[in-house]
Amino acid sequence: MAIENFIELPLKDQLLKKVESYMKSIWINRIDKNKLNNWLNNFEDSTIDIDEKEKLNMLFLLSKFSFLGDNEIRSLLKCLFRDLFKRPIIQRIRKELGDTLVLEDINKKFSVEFEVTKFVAIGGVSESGAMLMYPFRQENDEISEKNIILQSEILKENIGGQKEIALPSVQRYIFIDDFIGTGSQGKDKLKKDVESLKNLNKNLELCYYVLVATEDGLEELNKLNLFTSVEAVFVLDGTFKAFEEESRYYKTTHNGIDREYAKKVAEKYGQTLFYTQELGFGDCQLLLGFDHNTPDNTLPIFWGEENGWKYIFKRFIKKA
Amino acid sequence: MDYSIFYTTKHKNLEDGSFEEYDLFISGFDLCERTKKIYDEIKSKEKVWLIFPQYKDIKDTDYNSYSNYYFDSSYEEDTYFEKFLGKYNVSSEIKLCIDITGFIRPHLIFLIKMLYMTGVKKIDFLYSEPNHYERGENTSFTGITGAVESVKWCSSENNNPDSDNDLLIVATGYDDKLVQKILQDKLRVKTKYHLIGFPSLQLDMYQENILKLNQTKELVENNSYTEFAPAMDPFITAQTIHDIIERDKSYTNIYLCPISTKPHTLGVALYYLNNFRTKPVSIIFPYSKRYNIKTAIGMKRIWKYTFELP
Amino acid sequence: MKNLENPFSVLKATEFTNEEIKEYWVDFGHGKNSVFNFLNPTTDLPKYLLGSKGTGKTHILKYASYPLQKLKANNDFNKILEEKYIGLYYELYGYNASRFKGKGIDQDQWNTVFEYYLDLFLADKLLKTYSEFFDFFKVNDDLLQSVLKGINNLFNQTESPLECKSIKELIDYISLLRKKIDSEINNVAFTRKFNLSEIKSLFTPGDLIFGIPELISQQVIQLKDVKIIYILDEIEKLEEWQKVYINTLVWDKRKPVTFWLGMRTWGYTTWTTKSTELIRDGHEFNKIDLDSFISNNQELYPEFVSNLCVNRLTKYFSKRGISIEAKNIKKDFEDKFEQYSEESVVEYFSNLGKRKELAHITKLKEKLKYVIKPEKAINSFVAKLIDDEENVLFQKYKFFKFYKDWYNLDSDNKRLKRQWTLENIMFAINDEFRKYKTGSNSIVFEEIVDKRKKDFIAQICVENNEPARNIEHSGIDSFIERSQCNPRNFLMILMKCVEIGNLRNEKTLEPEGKVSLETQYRALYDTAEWFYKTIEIKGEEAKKLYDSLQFLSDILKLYRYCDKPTETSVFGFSITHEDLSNEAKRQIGDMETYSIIVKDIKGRKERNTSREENRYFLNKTLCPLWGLPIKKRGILDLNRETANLIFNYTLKNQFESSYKKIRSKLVAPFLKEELTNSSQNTLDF
Repeated sequence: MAIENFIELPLKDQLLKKVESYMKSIWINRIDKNKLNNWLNNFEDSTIDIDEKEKLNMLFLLSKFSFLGDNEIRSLLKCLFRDLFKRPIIQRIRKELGDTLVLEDINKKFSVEFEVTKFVAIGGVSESGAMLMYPFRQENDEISEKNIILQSEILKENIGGQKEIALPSVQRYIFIDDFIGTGSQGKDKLKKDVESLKNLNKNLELCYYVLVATEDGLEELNKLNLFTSVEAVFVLDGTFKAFEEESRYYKTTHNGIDREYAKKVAEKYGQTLFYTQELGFGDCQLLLGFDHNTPDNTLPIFWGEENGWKYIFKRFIKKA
Repeated sequence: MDYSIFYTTKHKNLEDGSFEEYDLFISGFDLCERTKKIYDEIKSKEKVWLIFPQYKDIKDTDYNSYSNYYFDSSYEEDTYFEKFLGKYNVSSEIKLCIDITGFIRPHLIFLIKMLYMTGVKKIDFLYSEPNHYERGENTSFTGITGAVESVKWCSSENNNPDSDNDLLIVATGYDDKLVQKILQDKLRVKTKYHLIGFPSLQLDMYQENILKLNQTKELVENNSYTEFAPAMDPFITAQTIHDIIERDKSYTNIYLCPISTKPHTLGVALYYLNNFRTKPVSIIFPYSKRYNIKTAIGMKRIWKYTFELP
Repeated sequence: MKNLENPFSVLKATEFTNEEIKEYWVDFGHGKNSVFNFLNPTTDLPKYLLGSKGTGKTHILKYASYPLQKLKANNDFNKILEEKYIGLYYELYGYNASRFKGKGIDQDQWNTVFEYYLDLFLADKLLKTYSEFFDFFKVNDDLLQSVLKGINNLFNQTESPLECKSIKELIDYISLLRKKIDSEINNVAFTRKFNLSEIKSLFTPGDLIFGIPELISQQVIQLKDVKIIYILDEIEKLEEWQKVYINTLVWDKRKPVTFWLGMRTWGYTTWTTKSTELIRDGHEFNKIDLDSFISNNQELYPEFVSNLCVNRLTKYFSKRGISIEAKNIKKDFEDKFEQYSEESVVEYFSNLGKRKELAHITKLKEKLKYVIKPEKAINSFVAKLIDDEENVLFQKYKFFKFYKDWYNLDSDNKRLKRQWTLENIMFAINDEFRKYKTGSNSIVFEEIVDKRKKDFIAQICVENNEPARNIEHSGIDSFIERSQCNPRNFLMILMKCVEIGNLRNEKTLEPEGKVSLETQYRALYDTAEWFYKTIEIKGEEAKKLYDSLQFLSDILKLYRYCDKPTETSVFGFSITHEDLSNEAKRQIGDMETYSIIVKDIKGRKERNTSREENRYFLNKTLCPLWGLPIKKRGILDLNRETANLIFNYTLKNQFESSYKKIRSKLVAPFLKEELTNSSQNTLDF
């Protein structure tokens, strides 16, 4: 095909077109024109920055942002249950039964395993883990209320004040959360309880499954040797760090788009929005948001609210 | 029907002990490191490279050091494979493995049907991911497209002359020109679904796919549904297709088009094989005489899918 | 899903339900201008209805078909019969005609299978329709059995006589025959030969298509004088030999059957029949070309599309419980569109020029580096040329004169026997310009203003990366003109205006809503891009067409956006027919067929020589892609060499060097040698 020789729409309009396309689809009901304009107006304006370079570079980052809306989260929750939890067990059962294709037999054995499994919402009632549990049940017919517990329900204190397993029949605990960034949060929330569990019963299967995790975060958690498995539906490698050299976002060049320049802009504003972590917690430099929350590992320019800053992807759940 | 019970596993390489010795191993030659690596390392009594004439970048010096390769100059998949069964012993007894990574889609589908109709009931499919693509993941890989036609041997055996309630399901990928061709050709189909690879291989591929799809929809049509099927999973793909079709028992004709990932293509083929006798279903494709090879470096992971056919 | 927020969102008849086909029907005109004047169901002569994408062909054919007949008659079959025809509408994509080839089977066998299958295919809807009529008229059982007996006898009786006792049984039997062939056609990809017993013809092709209606019209009194019209749409989806067979059916047709064939203009490729007889327009069939019809009745078109627009808006408002009179709807809607004003554009850029250096000044400085040394002298030179003139357009006029004089410097010096330098030119220009500005006569600048104003405004907008200001013409009437006699193009522009306007919170359809110039530009640009990308041409032909279009648009763009334009607002080109190679003629023909270029009928020059000269212009819908003008002014005469380089793909590789040669005369610094960094794909002037 001939290379297109059109009079190109200015880059700003091309990027706006992309963003508008997302606003009509994945970001629908989340971002409208007002929010967009308010956010863009955070940045230097055309009377000061005559080439609108600041706004342009931030708009560019916005056009690369990965937002997982309600539909996407629900699909990921389905995948988490079906692909991370259920199917490996089904495959094992089939092998044990000589590769049978008889659904009835397979499902019978599976229910036995399912009976002794609990899905654990990490952290407290108002945290992301707990928030996911309702859609998690809705998307997976097999799960009912009795398959889900809060983290606080795993252990109880006996009369002597010592920790005891609250549900002795359970063989498998699956800890669920939306995201692993650096892994430090997961570690903080889970280490104690999981260590206790392991000490009380070393045969327990302890899994930590999330929707999205960074490679580094998974490594951190695996190093602890606490869990039988730590897995995520989406794994983000180093190329997802927005401003690093191997960043996937700057692989193609455009006139006026400058990775180093954008980094400085993000740092400049990030300083007031998230002091000492101006490019996101743990210097993760992510462009990631969920329907229910934006992780603080994402660049603060997207979710910050200090000093009259207008966010575009809200951060609902603050860290304790 | 529950397609999710079929075996599917991930591997870092072929040495983790989960690969038995095969009787026949077939792979599509595509110059890539990882396809060659798998071909060299896999244990099989007989191995054969398929050389496709559509890959213009391949010269015979690239492959003639291998003793076992199969080539036909025909672009049509039925003519291409005409001599294949004469050369290679295929039956329901043999242990068969196919690396689909370098295959051309219609040829892959035709081959699977041919093996199935010859009696083969079980096939292991391999698909490998590279460490990275030279020119970015999301580049289109076709040249000029010709016509949209049904894949040979996969046209409908129950063609309904009443087309008032037709259904089109497109496994929609990044190559928007192909998607546009299909949508233009099947403009008049009443109900259209786009099967999007989600979860995608990498997080941002999903939104890029949606962006491309939105752009294409603006050009051609605007009333279609979107459903998700994991990009690397043929079985959930087949299941999703099944679920869509079961929603309306009165679909007059059903067109399936696999123009996203190769695992999606497998899923389309799997659904077709399970249903072509009883349903008005066909597989269509926007044919091309030239395919560009996506140069890729290294090998990150191998997927293995085991088809157990009815 | 159908966007209920946008009254223009449904653009294709194929997306409409039957009710909507009826609701949204707008005729071209009344009486002799009505569509059904030439698509007359009461005449026997078959009709070939040709229309490019968006001319309304499918809407027309569906409107004439049986489901709409039922709707219009409120399911009263007596009323349907008053129309004296039954229109059976078939979409040929469902035939999947591309199956009937290859797979190691010879052409004769494919011919046989295809022809036999067509009877079985068409018979399905035919019989189902008759079944509804029989039910309505409560045809008695004896008559029904007599009819069935007759149909049974159409089938070959040697093996076992067919004894269907009901229409449903017959339909199922035919369905079974079809399925056998479907299976055979599918499996032959592997078996490489037909199982003849499965595909054996049980009747002669045509026996069902003609025989069944013949029989029924003879025996069933209500259907005695009623035509059966097979409306076959999408003929372009058939292979050539398959079209030949359809032509043969048209030739062979028997009462009460006739055919209406719908096809794309480019799908109309053969008028031969199997017997090598040719079917002739006016004799065996009537060809109706919707594009020609519209362009030959250009006065009708604006009113037609205005009615389409009002029809859509009326439905939109009434669904929301708002009632407005038709004439107010139109006026209110028209008034929303912001008007373009040249003065505003010039003022905007003149003000911008006070804050930052505009592109034409930066570029001149770059170009002067070739001829003025030392470089630091350039800034003051340019400042002197500008001479404190703040109006950006006036700056452009001066620059233009400067470029012209720069180009002609050597030859002018020779001719006038002087030793002028660039500096001399600069002073002379300023003198002349002062004359112009103070009201004394300056023919030089008056001519420049008259001829170049619009082009320079366009240049300013595009150079400074604000092409949206270059809209030149705004509002509904402009859209009607730009839609190039294609209703869908017009509706698409409106659809985009509403869509983009809503995204920008312009509240387009609310009483206080407006459609800004920027929105209009985006709508036009997006429509142009849509038109460009959805040209229905395939394969190698597509590549050639797009290449030629790129070359043509490169040339047209060059003449508008160069430093020293020689033509005014070039909107079209002229070519002498004899100059063209066969390949170039073919390509131009293709571009006309696919509505990329339009032949300018009125503007044909007459010359003393007998050489046929043709004028063409680019489809106005496409012009925004390259910022080209839509109003007729300048015509570019393409010489033999250039014309062939543009349109003959075999000379593709030579185009670039020829283009650079032309460019070196129009773009400073006018170097004869190739500029190493130049790229024809960017406006890198």
